[in-house]
Amino acid sequence: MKKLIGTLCLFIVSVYFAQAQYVDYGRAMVSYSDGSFFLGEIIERKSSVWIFHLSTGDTIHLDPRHITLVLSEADIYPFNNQKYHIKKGLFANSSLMFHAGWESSVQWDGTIGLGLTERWDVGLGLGISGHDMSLGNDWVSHEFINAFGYGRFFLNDRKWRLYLDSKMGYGFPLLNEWDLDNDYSGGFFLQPGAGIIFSSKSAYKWNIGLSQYILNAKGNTTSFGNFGNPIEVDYNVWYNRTVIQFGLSIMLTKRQLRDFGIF
Amino acid sequence: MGILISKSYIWVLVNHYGGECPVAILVAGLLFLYQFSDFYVYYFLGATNLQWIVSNDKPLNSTFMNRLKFPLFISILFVFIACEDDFGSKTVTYTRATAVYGDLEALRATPLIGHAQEIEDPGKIFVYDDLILVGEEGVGIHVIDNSQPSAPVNVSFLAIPGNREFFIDEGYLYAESMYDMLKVDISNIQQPVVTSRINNAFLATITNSSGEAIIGFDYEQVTEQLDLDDPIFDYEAENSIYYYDINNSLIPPSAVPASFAGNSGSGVGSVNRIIAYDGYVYAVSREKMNVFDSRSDFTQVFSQSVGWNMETVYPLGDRLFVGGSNAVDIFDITNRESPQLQSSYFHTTSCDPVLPVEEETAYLTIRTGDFAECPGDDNQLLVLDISDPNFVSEIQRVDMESPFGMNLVGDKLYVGEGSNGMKVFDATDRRNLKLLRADHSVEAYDVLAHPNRADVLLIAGPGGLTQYQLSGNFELHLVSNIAF
Repeated sequence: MKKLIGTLCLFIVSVYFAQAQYVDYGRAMVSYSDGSFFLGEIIERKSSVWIFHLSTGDTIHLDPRHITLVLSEADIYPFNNQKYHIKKGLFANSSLMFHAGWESSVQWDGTIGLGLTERWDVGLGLGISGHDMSLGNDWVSHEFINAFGYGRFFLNDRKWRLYLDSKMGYGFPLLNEWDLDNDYSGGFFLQPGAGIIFSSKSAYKWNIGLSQYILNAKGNTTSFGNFGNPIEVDYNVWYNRTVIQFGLSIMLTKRQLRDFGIF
Repeated sequence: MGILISKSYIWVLVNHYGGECPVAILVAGLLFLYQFSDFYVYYFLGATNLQWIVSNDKPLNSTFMNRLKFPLFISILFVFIACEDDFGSKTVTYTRATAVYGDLEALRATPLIGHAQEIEDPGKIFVYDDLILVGEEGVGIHVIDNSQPSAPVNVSFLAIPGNREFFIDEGYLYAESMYDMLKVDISNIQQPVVTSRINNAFLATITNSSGEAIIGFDYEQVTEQLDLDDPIFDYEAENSIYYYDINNSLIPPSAVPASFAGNSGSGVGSVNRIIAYDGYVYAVSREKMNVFDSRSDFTQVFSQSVGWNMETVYPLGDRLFVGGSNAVDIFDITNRESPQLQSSYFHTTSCDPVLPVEEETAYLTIRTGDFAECPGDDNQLLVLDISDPNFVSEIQRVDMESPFGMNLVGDKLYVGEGSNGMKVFDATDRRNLKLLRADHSVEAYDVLAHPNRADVLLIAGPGGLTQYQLSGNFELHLVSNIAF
């Protein structure tokens, strides 16, 4: 079984990279070492010179030694100031979300995924979250490891690229051995939301969004009345709160992935 | 929140935003609209309320507005993060205390002596001379003739309404009776006489609007299903009548199945709330200490709140040791009528009988887990150095299973371990206990020596009070059992 899965994964990755090898640039955005960039079509590529037909109609010659970035327009949505979004590729995202009302929530998670189409992304993620909740006169706090699947749908192709997304999975309780009184289990986790990814000049792109954090938790605790009288409390609750989320993504086209280096 | 739509403007007035989700959703929708359209956002500084106007007219200073665009967008997002609508339910289980009202004067006039009756709800147990007195929680005291340990006889009943704690010293029984403190001459147990009654020694009488006094409480275990936001506990105050934690002033119900305190030639039990010492009687509720002068006229000389969750009291020399749920407080009683807090030894929250055994050493058991009043997970017997009155330190720590009461008989320390049996320690060296025997054949909540028989041991357990003949190697041989 393991061999089968391994072979399948290897095949998918191989096909992915093989596709990347044979896609021609065609129309492209080319960045130059002096900070300038050009939008147009690569007419010819030689080792000593690139002949580039600008979108303005002019034709220029570029020294390949000074070219810092080439992105095919087939892979990206280019914008002014050298910024762009990729249409379809791989991404890894790390985000921090929090809720800051009467009660609080915070989650830090990471997601990796790929683009199925220019509109649809899917991925898998893992996060750690902490919450507190009022039970009336008393409070409980919960920490979870959240494992989830991820889906995202882009609504537009603008510099501020709007998306609808959702995380769905399970929150596994992180019980504290020093707080034995706080006993709880995790549960179903869903986080539908919407947000914006901001175009950038690099593969790193900031995103911000709002989402609704929904998570089930069951547990029991001992509360104490005003005079110290113990009250056993069993609860079955759903966190349902709006959270704001900041994230940083690495978004790479297949071609970029081949040449990608963090530094 | 108000919305006004005209021909060319959408006005969104965000007034008095209170974290309501519909508001957040509406504004979120407008944000999306803003993104998809060529609308521009104006922000009017100086408006009374936060006021937004979304227009399709290009503003005069578009560069300025574009600079504002991002921070405004972020600012608006922050409006939403207080929006929450958690839901669910909770089930609470607690002990409901319902006040019982009655005629207090009639109760005070209850005849003291009554016929022997069955033990139904045992509380305090006291061994005195050839008598065993077993408290009937809130009702009175059973008197058992134990002159023949193999055949104890239930001979009479002392009717003391509301009584839970009592102590016997030199022929006098000191007992509380709800609000009052009694001194009863039991030198002739066939004809006991109330020699003194201090009315409202513990608390002024609490009455309802009909003038009836609270004479007790009915306790009931209650389980209720509540919504998530419902308060877990609530105290109703009808007609602005305040409520009062009566147990903080009065003696609370016993916290163990059968609390046990005895008087013998070798010492005093470790779980007393009332104790007589050097002509005075000390009584502790959860937070109040009361001192009575019993040398001639029985008078109350001290009544103050001095602690929190106090459980036991024990005098030694010029010091009074008060065991609480998370500390042992040591009071200076050089002036017997005015205890002064001298020092405290703090430990994990638990239930903790304390037994000073000499001027420099005290034993303390801390127990957790059996009752909600004893949270935590520490079960230990601690040997404390009390030679410095201002600084109590730990000398030895012995892991236990569930220690309850203890008693030092001669050089042997007996510690009841509840359902886990009983342990016997060699205490020849008071500051270095050595385990001699762990007996799991009995269920012992407290252990006491017979006042007149060195070879008889009394053990209080759920099956009653059992007397054992003690062999040389601490093996127990059943003599008799007073079932309750």
